[in-house]
Amino acid sequence: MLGLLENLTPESLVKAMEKELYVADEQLAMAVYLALRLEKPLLIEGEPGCGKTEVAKVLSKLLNTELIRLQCYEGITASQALYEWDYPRQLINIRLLESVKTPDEISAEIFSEKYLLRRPLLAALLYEGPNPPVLLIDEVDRSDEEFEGFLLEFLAEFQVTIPELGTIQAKKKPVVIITSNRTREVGDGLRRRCLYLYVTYPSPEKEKKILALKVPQLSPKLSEEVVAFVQRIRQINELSKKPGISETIDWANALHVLGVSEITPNNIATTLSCLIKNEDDLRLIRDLGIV
Amino acid sequence: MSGDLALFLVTEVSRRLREYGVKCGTSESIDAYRSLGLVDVNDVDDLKSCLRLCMVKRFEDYEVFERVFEELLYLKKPSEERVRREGGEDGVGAMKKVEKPRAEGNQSSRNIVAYYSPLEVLARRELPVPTLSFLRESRRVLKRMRRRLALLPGRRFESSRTGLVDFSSTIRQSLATHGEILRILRRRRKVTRCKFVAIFDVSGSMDAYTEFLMESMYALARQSVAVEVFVFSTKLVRVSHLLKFFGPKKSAELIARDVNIWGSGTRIGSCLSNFIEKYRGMVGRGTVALIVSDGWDTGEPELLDRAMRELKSLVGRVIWVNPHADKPGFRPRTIGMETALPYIDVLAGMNALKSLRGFIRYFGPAHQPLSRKGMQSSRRPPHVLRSART
Repeated sequence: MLGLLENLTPESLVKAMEKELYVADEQLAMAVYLALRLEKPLLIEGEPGCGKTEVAKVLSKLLNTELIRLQCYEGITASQALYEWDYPRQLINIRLLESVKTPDEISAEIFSEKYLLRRPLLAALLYEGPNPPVLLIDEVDRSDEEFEGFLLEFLAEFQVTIPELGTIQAKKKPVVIITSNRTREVGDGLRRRCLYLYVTYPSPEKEKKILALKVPQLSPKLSEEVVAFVQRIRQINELSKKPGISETIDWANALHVLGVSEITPNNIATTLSCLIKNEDDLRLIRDLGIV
Repeated sequence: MSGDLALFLVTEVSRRLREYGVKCGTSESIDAYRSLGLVDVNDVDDLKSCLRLCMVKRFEDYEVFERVFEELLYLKKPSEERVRREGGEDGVGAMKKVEKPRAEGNQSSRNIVAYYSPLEVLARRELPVPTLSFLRESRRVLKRMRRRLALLPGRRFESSRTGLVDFSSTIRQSLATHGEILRILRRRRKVTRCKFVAIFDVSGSMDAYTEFLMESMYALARQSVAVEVFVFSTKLVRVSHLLKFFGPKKSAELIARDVNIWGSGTRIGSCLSNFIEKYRGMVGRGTVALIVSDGWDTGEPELLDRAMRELKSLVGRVIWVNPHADKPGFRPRTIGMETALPYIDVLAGMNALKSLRGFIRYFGPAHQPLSRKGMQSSRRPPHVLRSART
């Protein structure tokens, strides 16, 4: 798999990703290509359900390496992202070693890597494998500003400092993908350290291609109708959440499971909840007479 | 592409981007220059997406980059004319093909469709654009305010008698007794955060404060994920999404276009009940409700009374900002104010949002600290009454 990194071009990346059932356009392929080559994190922003997280998953498959995922949320702290000492084990071992070793030896023992609980960021630094790991920092906009600030050192230097052990440097720089749904403005510091890509809803052609890959059982005619309908729904600006690609795939799957051969107002009405997941939006669509 | 040419291209693009106000630093230029060595620069599309990836870090700036790139594409300099032309000929067509759909998509997504317009449509009006100096000041104010009004546990810990075992300080403390643990220390999360729901009155009687309303709305929405902003006059409209994703100018434009309720009459009661009905799930005990209004209400006071009581029971604190409260000798005399007063924790003037000094006047140490349990504080009279007398 090292070959992928050696003779990498954006075009070869598109093909490789397609094999992993991901349709990448030129922009995205270029972004991933440069992120790999320049060894810089890639910040992907865009609407929910447009394949941001999927990029990291596919990439980890391509590189035949591990996907290390850090899901951000409100109130996430450094100890949940980086490392924590395994206190219960340390306590037990102090007791056990008390009679055999001197205090200095004990403290050297209990503050060694053995007692370190690796959280995602540290795990990515210490990953051992032929290829660098893929680190996915998902929905960074959900975390607090303080946490974002904490990420900066890590992203710029790929190192962390643990007071008891010293600075730990990445063996191989991990491939970092950061995603954001823009619920909050991500700071300039983080942006500066990353390459930036904005993804939006796909064109009809791309969406058809995605459906053909992800839901191959669907007949081309039905897939065309599905895409046309979803694209029409996305034109409605009043929707509080427009359906993303993942919703389209869900819906196509649902239609397939139900054995639908063509789209009628009736079966749209029964399966619309796959596409629209908001009471107000459902009402709006009904009021518009689309269903 | 020769090194000189790449260098020229990168510096030129970054210079022009900066001229348009895009933040593009040296590190961006270095990245761009390095990446030009990695791609096929004869393909204009590749060249463009590569420069954009490295140098433009905001979706809002994509448009500017588009323009800058276009400018450079037609820039004729003897030394690189050949390359540019070559790329330009087949590139522009391709580029148009790629870029057109997106541009159209954007356009249509910004258009408002006629059927959504409320019945009480008024003439569309220009709204003032929030200024940067205000935003800077208010960011500090709002940060303090959120701490002052905090109801929710934050990121940091404090030692306490209850809570989870704090292993790290327990061990650290035990070192003093040679590893013998005599006391187990515990810690819990410090209460430092709160969620905010801000409801702004944009009716006719508030017209004089439009600038302040726009600015504080924008500053609030931008402050944190946990802030939702609504405006009301005769009906209630949620505007957080318009404020959160766009720059100050764009948001002012979008709100002026999409929210057609500026300057009409006030129905606080029905708007608040509407809020409770529709967005009940959005608020909780950790939420602070901030209502900005002068309290001139044309609806029935009973409705407002009921809505306020319900709101009070839903959220942790209720803050009412009345623009007149800054004036000396202010008394909450309007019907709306009098009805709402029993349910308000703090009644502040708009200086409270504007400057640190104003903030301290209404929320500062001169007042008793806000109790953590919101319900209790409501039994006391609102803070401003005391400060008005002094």
